[in-house]
Amino acid sequence: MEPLKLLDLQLVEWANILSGQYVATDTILKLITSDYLIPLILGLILLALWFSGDNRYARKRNQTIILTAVTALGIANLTVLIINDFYFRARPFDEIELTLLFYLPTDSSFPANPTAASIAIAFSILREKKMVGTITLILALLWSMSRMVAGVSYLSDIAAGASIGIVASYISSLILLKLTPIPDLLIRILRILHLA
Amino acid sequence: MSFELDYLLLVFFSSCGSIQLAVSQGPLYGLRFIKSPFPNKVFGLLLISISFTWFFISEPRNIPDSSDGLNGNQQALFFIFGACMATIFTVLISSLHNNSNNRIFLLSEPGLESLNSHSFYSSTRKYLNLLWNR
Repeated sequence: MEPLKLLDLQLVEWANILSGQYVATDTILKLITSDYLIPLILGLILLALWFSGDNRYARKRNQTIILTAVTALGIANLTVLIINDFYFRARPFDEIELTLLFYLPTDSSFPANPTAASIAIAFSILREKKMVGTITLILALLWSMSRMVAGVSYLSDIAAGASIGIVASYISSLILLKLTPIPDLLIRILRILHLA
Repeated sequence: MSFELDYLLLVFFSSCGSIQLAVSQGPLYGLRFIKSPFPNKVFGLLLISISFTWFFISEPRNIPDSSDGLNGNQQALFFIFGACMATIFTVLISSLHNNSNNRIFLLSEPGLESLNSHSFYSSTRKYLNLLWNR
């Protein structure tokens, strides 16, 4: 375990070299790392997907993707919450001196919750819609990696978060497949209101 | 203004823009603010970019949830509320704007596709009439 921990620290230290060099890159990094930019863009993509599609069948497919993504997000968050109850890992800035571009989070570093949540959404979309899924995946990876550059996550936190996100999206699609009448009922109710 | 209100306004306006972007490409004319697809798409993009620029430039937004920021659950709730408000606003404005549309309307079943040719208001009214006369 020790060599892995060392490698993790070295990778953060190496990535953090990008921080504090230029005002422009720092501003962009702060924006990407922010808790409010990429999560909101992902939410807006899901909202746009709800109203997209040339006919009712295409729209229903998109709306089912959204329900899968939201369920996957819930599963990923719950998994991270449970892991955090049993295991606490200090943030990289607690271990080594880094140039910080982010506020000092106090929760456990492992696994990376933002990665788990965003990858869960991205993979739920990616399985059905390649183009939109690829865009969301790029955004999710950008958000995750920027947190490493900003000195708040290790690469292993991001890898664990991504694994949780991928598994959550598969579990979610299985759940919705087994419980098809529930999302169908929800969509049918919204159709009466002309909203689905 | 408080951080929560700022975030809610960001969600509301960017959601309005996002809906307009989505309906610009599809057949849901009844939800458009502007009838032609290209100007409507530009309008949607402008709404999103202006609201994001305003939110991130007006004040420093790198705020932890332990201070004035929002945690993940609060963000999700604010997003759901803001997006619902944006949908209601879109439905109201597009209904007012597109209500003069008097094309022949054949409503067979409910759903978003009824907004391909009519506004939310007129399709809901006709659907309720249909149910009432059944």
